[in-house]
Amino acid sequence: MEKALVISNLKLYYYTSAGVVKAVDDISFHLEKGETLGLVGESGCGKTTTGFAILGMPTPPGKIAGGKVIIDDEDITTFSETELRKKIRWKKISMVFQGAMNCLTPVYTVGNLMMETYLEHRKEASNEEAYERIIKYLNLVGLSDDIYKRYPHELSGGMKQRVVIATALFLEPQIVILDEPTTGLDVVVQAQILNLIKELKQKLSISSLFITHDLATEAEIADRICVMYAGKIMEIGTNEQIYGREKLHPYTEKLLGATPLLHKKVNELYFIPGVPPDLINPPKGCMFYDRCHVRMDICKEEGPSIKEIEPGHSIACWRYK
Amino acid sequence: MKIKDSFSGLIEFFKEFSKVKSGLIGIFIILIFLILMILEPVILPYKETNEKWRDISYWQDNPSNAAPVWTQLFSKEKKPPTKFIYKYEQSTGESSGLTTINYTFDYKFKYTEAPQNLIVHAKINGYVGYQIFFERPDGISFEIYRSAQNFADEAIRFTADTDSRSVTYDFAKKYETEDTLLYVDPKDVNVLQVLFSKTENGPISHPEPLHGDYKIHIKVTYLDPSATFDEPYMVLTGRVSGLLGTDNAKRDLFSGIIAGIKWAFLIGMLVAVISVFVGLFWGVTSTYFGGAIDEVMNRIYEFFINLPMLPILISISAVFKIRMAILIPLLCLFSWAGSVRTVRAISLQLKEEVFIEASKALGANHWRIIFVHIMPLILPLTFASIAFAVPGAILTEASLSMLGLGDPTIVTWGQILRDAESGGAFINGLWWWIIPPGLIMALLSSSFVFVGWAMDKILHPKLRTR
Amino acid sequence: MEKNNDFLLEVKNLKKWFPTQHGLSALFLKEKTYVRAVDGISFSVKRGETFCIIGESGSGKTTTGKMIMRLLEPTDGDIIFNGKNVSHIKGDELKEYRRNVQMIFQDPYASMNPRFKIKQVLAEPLVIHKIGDSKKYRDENSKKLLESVKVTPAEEFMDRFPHMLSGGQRQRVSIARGVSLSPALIVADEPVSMIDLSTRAEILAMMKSLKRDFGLTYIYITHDLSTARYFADTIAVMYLGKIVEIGNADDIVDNPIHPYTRVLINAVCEPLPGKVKKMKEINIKGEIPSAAKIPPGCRFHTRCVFADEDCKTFPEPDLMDIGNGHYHSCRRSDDLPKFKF
Repeated sequence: MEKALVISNLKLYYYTSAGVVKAVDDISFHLEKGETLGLVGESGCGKTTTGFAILGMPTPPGKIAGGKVIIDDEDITTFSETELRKKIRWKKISMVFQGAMNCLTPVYTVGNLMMETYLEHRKEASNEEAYERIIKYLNLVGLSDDIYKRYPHELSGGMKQRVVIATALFLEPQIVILDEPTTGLDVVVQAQILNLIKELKQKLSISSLFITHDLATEAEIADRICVMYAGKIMEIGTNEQIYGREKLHPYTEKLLGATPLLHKKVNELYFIPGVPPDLINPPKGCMFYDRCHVRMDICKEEGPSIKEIEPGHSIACWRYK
Repeated sequence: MKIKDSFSGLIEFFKEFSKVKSGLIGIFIILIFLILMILEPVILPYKETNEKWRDISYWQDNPSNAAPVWTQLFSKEKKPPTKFIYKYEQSTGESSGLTTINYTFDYKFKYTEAPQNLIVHAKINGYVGYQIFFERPDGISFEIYRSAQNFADEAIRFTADTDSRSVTYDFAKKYETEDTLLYVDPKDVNVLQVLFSKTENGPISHPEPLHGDYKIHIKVTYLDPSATFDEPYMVLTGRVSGLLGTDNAKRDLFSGIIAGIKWAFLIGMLVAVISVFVGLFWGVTSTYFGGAIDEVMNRIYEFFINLPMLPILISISAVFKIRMAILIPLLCLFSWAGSVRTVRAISLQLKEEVFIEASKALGANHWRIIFVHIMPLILPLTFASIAFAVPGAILTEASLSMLGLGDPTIVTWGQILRDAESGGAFINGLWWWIIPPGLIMALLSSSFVFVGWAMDKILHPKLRTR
Repeated sequence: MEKNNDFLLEVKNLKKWFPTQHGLSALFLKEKTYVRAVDGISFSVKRGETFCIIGESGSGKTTTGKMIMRLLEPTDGDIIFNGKNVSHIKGDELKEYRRNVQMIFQDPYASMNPRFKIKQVLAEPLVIHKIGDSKKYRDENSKKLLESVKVTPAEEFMDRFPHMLSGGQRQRVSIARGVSLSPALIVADEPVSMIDLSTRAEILAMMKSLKRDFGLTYIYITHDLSTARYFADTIAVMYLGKIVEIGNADDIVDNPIHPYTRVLINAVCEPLPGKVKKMKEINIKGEIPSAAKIPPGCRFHTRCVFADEDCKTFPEPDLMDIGNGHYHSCRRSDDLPKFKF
């Protein structure tokens, strides 16, 4: 399969007054055309930061400290801000930001908002062309034409999220980054949005990066899962490999254990004691050492590198060496 | 632990504060004023300024309407400053079997203008006669005053300007032509100018200062052997006086201004603190309870914020004698509403906070929530309001004083300005009477405003970009 | 329901209607409109059980919790706690009631005064109820509480401010504050929804063990069925201010009757493989109506895919018993297809 996006040895550090925070530290993965890659981890593990880094817009004081982000054989980390804006953002990659549905400017209609975005990126386009495109995509995300004239406050959370998704898609990018698109929505609406994303994936054969903290949501949507912890990738595997629960990184195992199953009554849920490490002074060995239940002596001394243990399944753990 | 924490909080605050230049300048000026206020007993040239500001006799030895001494630095003329002479030579004699004592005072005159007045003080008890002789450097000497009386332990005060008018006229007459004298009214003669003038061209028509050593003799004759004549001293009131000159009532303006600092602070701080706290309490309480209470409290607040202060204060002062103890509460009454609106805006948000609900759920009563949970959180935000309210209070007091509604028992800058206005300082160009009190009021007020701005920037970070 | 000492809390036909107009204008309106946030609910909570109220946002679950806490005044209906009607008590009685009933809030950070140190946060209940007047006693007590919720070393955390703690630690402190007066009932409003997944289970486990140690009864308010099943004994499903189905947790999840409950269950994501290719079956139409305009007939009929003419005209029936303490309010329950997930 062709690769839509290749991330290699990407590093993104925050240069704060307290020290350098290694928010994303030497991560590599790729995204195949038409697939959905899930990026999971606890809050603060660097998953959203990764999303921003791919768009070439790290939040200050963050800076890309190394590595490559390759789209169409071009390393976009070398691009200038203008180039990124003209060639990459929204044209090739778009992003549904976390909570974006709550940030729609209340004084503009949905149509105004979308029109502005469209014309900003397609300066040559006529209004009619833009209108047609907007209506097409509103319909595609399951909204009727009259939404065009409505104000954000007249819409429910689910409808707003659909508008945001339509806005991320209507310039027809190759890659969409979805950052927690279902967080803050009601369960039923959440399921509807997940269905929508699945549907769009089939219709548009788009590649997407689905960022969430919830392994249960990821199970519904991601072809492959990439588990991050403390700025590093702990495990990458296919949906079956991860949720099949045969060979897992201890962190993934614990995280899965902490995610309750509805149709199976369990008496005790797992949890992971302790807190993630300090990213200014990270431990010498494995990042997960302090909280790991199967740690060994070597783990404290040296961090494991990520290694393929079976086709399509890589784990960064000394247990699998 | 607690002290240490609030201390580090303070340090933190000052670190932030020191980044705002205008705030630092404000603090600096306020500190200078505070130091002046504390040092008042030391630096006041007239120690009883506070008690005797309106006592004419306390200021009688000062010149009236005299410019500040330092104006001489920029002027070619040399005007005499006020001089107190306590040193004298004493000689005893006898005349007609009665004891006489001669007191001689020396005065070196080297100025371009004569002193404003020549004053002799003494304490006399019993039957005493005394004569005052004026001896000029050109050898002319004559008696300028004489008196004999039974004094009952009295302080006597001789002033040449009034008491020697006719004698001086008689002396000057000799050097003037008949024609000139036709146009001179003896009452208009500038006594001191004549006394210190050369005689050649006529001391009245063409006075010219006669420089040299003058001697003033007081010859005391004891008509009653048990009589006493003590503590004689002489004052030559100058044409310039003190750091900031004098007003028409001969009061030293520098003393007045220094004595006014504490009142400015008292009025400003007290009114600001009380009214902001009342406003804080009012705003928090009304928003917290909401409903009917809020409606009523809000109407009261609107009533007060729309009250025209001056007309009402004028009518009140027609009924009551205005004193500080009444003025400060009155000013608070008219200014507490100023901070209510801001407090309401913040309080409306705060009262919906979950921790308020949590506290309620724990069983806390309304007053605990208001005083322990809401007010302390808004308090820092009101510090800026306090700083902004201070100038308002100071200026209001000044305007009331200007209207003659101030507390007459104390010295405030506003009252100095009012006296200047009624004393004709504006017409007569007595700038030292108007500019210093006005300027100092503006300076203190603006430094509080500077501090307020700085606090605003720190405490309302959202406004930082403005 | 007959009076029964097994019940710690009974709620009878509880209503909360918020008027939509305020102030003077409301006086002149002939017909007042209301947001019927809670529209007549009844349930009983047994001593020592965990009673879960589940629903989407706007279902009235939080309003119910706040009425039980007496943070909101009920418009109608009764709240009976320990055999005593507490729906309109005031003053000292209310204070005493609040000693027995405590609340844990969704956002632990927001539920603490940001200027208070942890020890002050924990001492507040004691100060309010005038328990132990010495500072030393209160500090000792705070320390014990922190240790009981495993925020250790306690001495170190006592002098910190809430913002210096992690989300999980804050929620533990908030739970410690909740149990500090040894209440009989704790209303927990989404206590773990803002907590990181890795510690969520730990908080729930801790709440379970506190329940054993202190003999607590919980009312657990949530939108999350998965934790509800793990945590709760009884589940009540709310939709637009009414309970549509109530029963023991396993019955509700494994054998839901009401179409709305079924939708909720189907909507849950589970960390299991093989779901990427399949669409989720969500048998629901449209959006949740506003509580200011509750549809006539069965309040769910506008969204129900099984609704018929009766559902549109007649209000939903009272809760019907199908045995084993399982009640629901769907008149068409016999015609519904068998539930599968």
